[in-house]
Amino acid sequence: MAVKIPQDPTFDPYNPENLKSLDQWAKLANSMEGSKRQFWNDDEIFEQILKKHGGIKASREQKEAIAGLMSVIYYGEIVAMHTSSQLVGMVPDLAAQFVAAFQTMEEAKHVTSLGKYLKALDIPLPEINPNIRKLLDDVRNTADPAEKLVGMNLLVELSAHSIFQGLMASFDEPVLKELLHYIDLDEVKHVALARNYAAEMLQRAGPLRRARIMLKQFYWMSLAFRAQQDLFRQYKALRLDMNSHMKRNFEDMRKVYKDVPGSVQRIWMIKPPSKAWGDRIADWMFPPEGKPGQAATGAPAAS
Amino acid sequence: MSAYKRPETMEVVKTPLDICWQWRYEIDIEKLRRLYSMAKRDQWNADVEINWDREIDPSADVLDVERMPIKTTKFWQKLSKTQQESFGAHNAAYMLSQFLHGEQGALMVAAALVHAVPDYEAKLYAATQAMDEARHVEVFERYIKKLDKIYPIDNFLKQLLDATLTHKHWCGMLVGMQMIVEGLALGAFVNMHEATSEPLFREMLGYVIKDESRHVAYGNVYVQEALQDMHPDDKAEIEDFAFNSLKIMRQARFGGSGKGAQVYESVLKDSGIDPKDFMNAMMQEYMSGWRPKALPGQLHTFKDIMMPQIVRVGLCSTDRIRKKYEEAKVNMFDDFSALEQIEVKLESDGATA
Repeated sequence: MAVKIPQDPTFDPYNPENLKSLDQWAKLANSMEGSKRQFWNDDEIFEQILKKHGGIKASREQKEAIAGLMSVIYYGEIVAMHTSSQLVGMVPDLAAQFVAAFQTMEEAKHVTSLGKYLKALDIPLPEINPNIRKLLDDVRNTADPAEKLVGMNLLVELSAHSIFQGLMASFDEPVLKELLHYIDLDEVKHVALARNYAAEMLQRAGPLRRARIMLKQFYWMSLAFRAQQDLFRQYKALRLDMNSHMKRNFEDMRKVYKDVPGSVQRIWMIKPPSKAWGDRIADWMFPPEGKPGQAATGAPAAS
Repeated sequence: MSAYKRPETMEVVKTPLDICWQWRYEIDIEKLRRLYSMAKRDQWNADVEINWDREIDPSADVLDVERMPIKTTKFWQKLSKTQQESFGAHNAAYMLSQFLHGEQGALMVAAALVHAVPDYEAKLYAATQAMDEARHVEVFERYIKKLDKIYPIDNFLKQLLDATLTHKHWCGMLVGMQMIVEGLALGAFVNMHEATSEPLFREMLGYVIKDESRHVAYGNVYVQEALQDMHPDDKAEIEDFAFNSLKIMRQARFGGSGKGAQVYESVLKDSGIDPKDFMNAMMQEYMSGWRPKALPGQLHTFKDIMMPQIVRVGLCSTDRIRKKYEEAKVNMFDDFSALEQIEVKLESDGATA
C-alpha cells in the first residue's frame, strides 16, 4: 500500500554550517551518546533471555492477553520506524536528524525483537486495535514534522514507556520483563528527542500550525483513552492495574511537560492534568477496584 | 507544504516519494535478513573504538597517489616542504569533505528508503544504514576538523546526490546511492585505506569500509530482485537514470568545472600556491606526457565497481540502453572479479551472522 506524502526537508544537506547544530543541541548530542553506549543486538539478547528463563512462563490465557497488548506495541514500533525515518529528512537540524536516524535503527530492533517474542508465544497475531490504528495512521500520514514529533515521540512513545513500566512492575513473565527493559532504554531516549526538540519545532511553525497541533493532541488523547478501555481485558489478565497505570501515565506526562523549554512553545502542548485532577480522572475512568467507569464510552464489560 | 520559517542558508529539496507500507512481516529475502543481522552485529561506537586524542603528523600521506597525483610531477618537487605539507592537508580536507557531504546525502537517502521500499526486510536493513550514515558523518567531520577545515561540495557530486534524492522511484534512489555513490566511496576508501600512512585515518576507514561493503551489497541484492518484477517502462527509466549518473561521474573524472573548480582554487590559495602557476605547470606536465596513474593493485572505482554492478544487475541489458552507452563512449565494463572479491570478503565476515 502506498501513501503519497510530500517530503519537505527544510534542510540543505551540503551546508558545512550544519555541523554546528551538534554544539547547539547539546542535549540531542547526549541522546546520541546514549544510543551509541547502550546499543544492544536483539539477535543476541533475545536468544540469551529465552535460554536463561527456559522459555516463556505464562498460561494460555495470559499468552493471549500478552499477544493482544504487545501486538499493539509491535504495530506501533513499525509505524515508529517509519515516522522516525521520515523525520530524518524533515527536521532542519543535523543533530536532530542524527537522533532520528539512531531512533530509526532502534525501532527496527524493537520490531524484530517483539516479532520474535510474539512468534515464540505461538498465538496468532491479533489485528490492530482500530483506535490505535487511527492514531498511528494520523501520525504517519501527516506531512508536518512537529505533528509527527509530538504525536509519536511524545504521546505514543511516552504511553509505551508507561505501559512497559507497569508491566515490568506487575506482571511476572521473565522473558517479556527482561526484553521490555532493553526496549524501554531506547524509548526513554525517543521521548527525550521530543522533550528537547519539540519547542524548537513549535517555534518554527506558524500560529495556524500550532493551533492544529494543539487540536490534534486532544484527538490523539481521546483515541488513546478509548484504546485503553478496549484493552481492559488484556490489562486485567496481565495484572496491570488500569487505575495506577493511568496515574503513572499522567505523572510521566507532567515530568516531560515540565522539562520542555520555552513557556510560549509549551502553550501549544496539552498541559497534563495536575496530580489531583489526574487522580480524579483516573478514578472516574477506571475506579480503583479495577472496573472501567460508567462514564467511559465504549468500555467493555469488566471480565 | 510546510509553513516553517527557513533560515536563508537552507536549501529545500522536494522529493516526490511515496511511502510503501508492507503489512506482511515475514522476512523472505534471506540475503537481506543476513545483511540486517550483520549490520546489528557490526555496529561500532566511534567514541570508544577510535582513539581521537592522537595528533595527525603533518608529514604523513593522508591520501593515496591516485587522489594526490600532483606528487608525481616536477611541479611538486619545486614546492617548499611547508607548501607540500600545507597542500597535503588542504587537499585531503577538500577530498574528505566531498565524502562527508556524500555521507550526509546517504543519511537522507537511507532514511527515505525505510519508508519507501516495499519489502519488510529491506526496510529493516535501511534502518540500520541510516544509523551507519549518521555515524559516518560524525567521524568524517571529526577527522576533517582535526586535519583542517570543511570545504564546500563539488558541483558534480551535488548534481548526483540531488538527482538521487529527488528520484520518484525508490529503485532509482537505490541505484543512485547504493550502487553509484556508495560504489565510488567504497572503492576510494579501500584504496585510501591501503595507501595512507596516517594511522588515525587508516583506523577510521577500516570501520567505515565494513559498513560500506554492506551498503553496496544491499544495493546489489535488492535492485536485482526489484528489476525482475518491474514494468519495462519503469525499468527503462531506471536504466536511463543509471546511465545519466554514470555519465556525470565520468565527466567529473575527466575534469570538473563550475563550483568544483572554484573550490579547488581555494584549496590552492589556502596552501600558498597561485592557482594560475598551478594550472600552467600542470598543463606543461600534461603536454610533456605526464598522466595521473593509479598504483598497481588499486581498485578503479568506475571500471571495477560502479560499472560492473550496473551491468550485473541487468541495467545494460537492452539494445536501447547499450546504444546510449556506445554513443556516449562510456565503456560497459563487465569484469566482476573485483566486485566478487569484495563480496567474498563480506560473506566470510558475515559467516556467523
